[in-house]
Amino acid sequence: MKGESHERTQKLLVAARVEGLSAADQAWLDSHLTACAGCMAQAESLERAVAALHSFQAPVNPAIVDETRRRLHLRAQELHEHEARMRALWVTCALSWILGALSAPALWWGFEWIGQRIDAPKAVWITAFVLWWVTPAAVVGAVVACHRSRGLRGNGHEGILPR
Amino acid sequence: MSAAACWFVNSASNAMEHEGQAIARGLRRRDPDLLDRLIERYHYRLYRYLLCLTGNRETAEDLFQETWIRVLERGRQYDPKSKFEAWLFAIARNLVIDLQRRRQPRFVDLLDSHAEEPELPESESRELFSALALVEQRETSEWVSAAMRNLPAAYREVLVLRFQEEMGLEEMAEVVSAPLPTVKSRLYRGLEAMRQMLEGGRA
Repeated sequence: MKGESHERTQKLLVAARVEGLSAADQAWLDSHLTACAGCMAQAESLERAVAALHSFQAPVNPAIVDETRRRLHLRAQELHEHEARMRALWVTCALSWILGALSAPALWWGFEWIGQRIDAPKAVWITAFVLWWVTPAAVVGAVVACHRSRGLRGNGHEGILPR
Repeated sequence: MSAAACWFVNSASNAMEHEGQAIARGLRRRDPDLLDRLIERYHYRLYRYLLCLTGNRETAEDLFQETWIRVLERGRQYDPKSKFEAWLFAIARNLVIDLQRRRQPRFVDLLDSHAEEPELPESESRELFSALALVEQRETSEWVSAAMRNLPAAYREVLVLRFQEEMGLEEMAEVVSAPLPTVKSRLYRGLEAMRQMLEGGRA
């Protein structure tokens, strides 16, 4: 019976620190602690452990804080510039796509006319038209992908930062 | 709850939400002044958390810098409904996990797994107990560092969040991405382990 009450005390001591205790449990614990020196010692040791955690000091090297600020400012500037470049690129892409779509009928007519003039098979001038139309989009796509990956690689994405 | 208490709780929660929104707006703009203020406010706690998780000053300093870079780069993902520090600590925690996954997979098993009860390694406990014999003569911070190093990472983490950062259980669950019962269970076991270490050191 006594063993059970010591065990309950230990559980309650920890529970008080995790979720808190009901009034009844708290009253039981208080009365047991006043009567049991062993459990009181355990309560004190737990109190010391928690107090030690509370009082743990970890002073930061001010140079690290300053260095972090400097890096953040640089990276923020880098990201702003990258975003401005990407915006310009997307606007250019959108304009180029709209112009491409608008000029497609005229371009088709042009390729057809040249194909007839030089007596080229239909498949040849259609292939030429498709390539003419697709190549700029492919080039722009490659440029955008390249810019994006360069922007992400900029700083700190490859693991620990250099000191 | 009385009307005054309700008013106090509501205004505190409104202020928190308002502050969260201001931070979210600043992070979306990548406002350097806001970042300076956030560093000023959280640098000590963040560094202490990282130091407790990694147990190494240099690694903690590296991760401290990288955490803030992530805050800048991923600021748009911050949800103003949650507390900024919970988000900040979650970023730091993920960086610790990434780093340890690269360096020492065993550590990650302890910190990252949702396994309920990591065991306290016997040999390490004994080593700590002998270290704790000197507890009376040592600085408290040194002792806490030694004790924390010898605790399984999953326990160490919740103890730090609870007793150093004074976070609530729900907030802790958010930081460690674990269900509430798991967080509670880790806290129970972590506290119990700390208590036993202290007793062992004094025996």
